[in-house]
Amino acid sequence: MDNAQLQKLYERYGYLVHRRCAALLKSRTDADDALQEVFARIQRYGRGANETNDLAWLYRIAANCCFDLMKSKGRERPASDAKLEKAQGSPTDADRRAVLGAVLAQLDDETREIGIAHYLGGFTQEEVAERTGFSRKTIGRRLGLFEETFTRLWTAAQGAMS
Amino acid sequence: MIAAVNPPARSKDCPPAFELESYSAGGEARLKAHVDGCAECARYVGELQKESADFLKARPADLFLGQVARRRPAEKPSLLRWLVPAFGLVAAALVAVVVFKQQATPELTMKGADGFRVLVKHGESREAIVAANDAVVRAGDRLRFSFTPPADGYLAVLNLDGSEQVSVFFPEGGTRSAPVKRDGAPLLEGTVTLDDAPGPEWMIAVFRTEPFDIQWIADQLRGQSKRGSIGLDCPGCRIEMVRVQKGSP
Repeated sequence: MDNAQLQKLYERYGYLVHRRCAALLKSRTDADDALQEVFARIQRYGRGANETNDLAWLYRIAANCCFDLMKSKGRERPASDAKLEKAQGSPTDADRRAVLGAVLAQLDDETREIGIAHYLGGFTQEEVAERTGFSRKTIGRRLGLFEETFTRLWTAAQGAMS
Repeated sequence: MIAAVNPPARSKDCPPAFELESYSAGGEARLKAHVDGCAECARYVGELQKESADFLKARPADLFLGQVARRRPAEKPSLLRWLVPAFGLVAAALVAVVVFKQQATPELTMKGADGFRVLVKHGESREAIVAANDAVVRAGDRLRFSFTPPADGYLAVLNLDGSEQVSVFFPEGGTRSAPVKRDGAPLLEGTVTLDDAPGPEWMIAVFRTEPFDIQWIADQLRGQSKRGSIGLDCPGCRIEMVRVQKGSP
């Protein structure tokens, strides 16, 4: 992809992609790094033939970059774990969004896609099923898996605090 | 604060956050009537557009794309990358015993006192000057580097900026050190134009007689920009560094 196309994409979507990375990584510095990686990959590999929605495409690359970044940091704990350390009482949807990256980092690609669409994209389970092609039952099961992982981390954090 | 703009609580008729985000960037034109008539969605879209404008003002496209150009995309972790080190682990451990006995800590110097020099051209100036430690530089200044190796070996020059971003200046965007000759030309290939990242800028030259992985060095650098000195665990390495300070444009 040439620089003019890259610039157009950055000016239109750069902030939104950075914001999505920050939501997953909970670190502005890491989000800066991930944003650069997103555009470096776009420059290198270009746009896939089946990509019809620029923002959905960029968000997907961004998620991959963020999870790769978490993995490459290896021994460092994801910044979003910090939220878990303060875990108290019953978690809310805001709590789930706050630790989304830490939870999704422990799950498989399909569950990540579903979790991101539901918790960050704001899609209902029916809409996620329609967009991803998974059955409504699969969506429910995968979100259940997310919930189990979230609860496990949340409970462990509460136990550590007490 | 990160991701300060929160989506509205979604009521029955409102589109999902993703579609509002797309609309804020000029897509999903079909949502116009809804957004115009929904205070919550209009607020969300308005905040996103304002944040986006501020974001681009702070990080103009030309500077950002310059940073991207200096970077090579990281390869996705693969099974092979785990297996190769695993198979090499026993051999590496044996070698490490010998190497650590010979040189347990890297040789480390400041101010480019030995082989490493940072050359700066300010603004439109055609004259390059050698940057002293803590010299003041500005966004737009151009840098080149020279390095006189003590022997034939391998070199990498990295940059750590005040936002903890690490860039590889030599070999440009590389992931492995590049070979250098003791009797070769000291001026390294490539010119770097400084961006507007605030804070100190560390230029770090790492030399070793054996090739090495740059990512391993880069991972150690992040988080150290505000320290008085940089610590690196790199057995057998000769490390020289120059810190410059970013001044106002």
